[in-house]
Amino acid sequence: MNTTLMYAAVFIGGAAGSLLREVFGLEIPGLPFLTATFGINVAASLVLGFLYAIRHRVHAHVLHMGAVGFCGGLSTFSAFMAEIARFAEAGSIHVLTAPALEIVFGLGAAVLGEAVGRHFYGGARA
Amino acid sequence: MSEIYLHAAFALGGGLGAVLRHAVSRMVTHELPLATLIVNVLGSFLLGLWIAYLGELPAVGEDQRRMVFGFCGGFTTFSSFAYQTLSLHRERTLILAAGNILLSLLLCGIGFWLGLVLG
Repeated sequence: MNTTLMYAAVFIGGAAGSLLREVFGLEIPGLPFLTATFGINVAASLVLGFLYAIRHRVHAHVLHMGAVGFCGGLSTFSAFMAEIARFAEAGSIHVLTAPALEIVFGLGAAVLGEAVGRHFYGGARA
Repeated sequence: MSEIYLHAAFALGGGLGAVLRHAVSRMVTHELPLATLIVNVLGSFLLGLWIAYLGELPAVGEDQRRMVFGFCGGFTTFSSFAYQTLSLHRERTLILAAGNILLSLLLCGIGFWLGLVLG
């Protein structure tokens, strides 16, 4: 595989995912545990699950752009930590509920994305 | 600085972070998702450092501020963490999957906090 092209694909996907994260990472008023990172992390997990289910049907560079670049650029663990730290500082119970919900919904979204991918594209060969 | 330029700075940081994350994942090949853990801990540490640093030196340009924020998010990943946790549960054991969750939260939390303290 062409390494330069592979990294270019990761860069383009990562830049696009990051841009989307910056634009759509919005907090929902009144639902403090649904943090800015919640929606984008769950959405990225959904897309990654989908892409993983159809990974044998797409070109390797497309997979690198989408799964490694875009999903990784869209989702974030560092901002997730910063949000948990804010809850900890405020002595809020959401220091526990926010990560628990984000992980449960993130894993659930990955399963759902995978199921959708398998349903429409015949599934992944191991 | 125009808003488009600032978005571009953020995206540039994110793209570079993603490239570096991929480079780490190609170097650290282990049956357990160690590469993801490493980038997430390092990225959380860097974000803590940067937030602390900005608190003391607010004169940093907005483009630089955004580029580093973009980098931290592009370098770290939640989606791979989620999918790999799922794979650990399916292909290995529930204990390993739970361990990946707890270890990631613990080490990344410590990393972020260390960054804040040292920054």
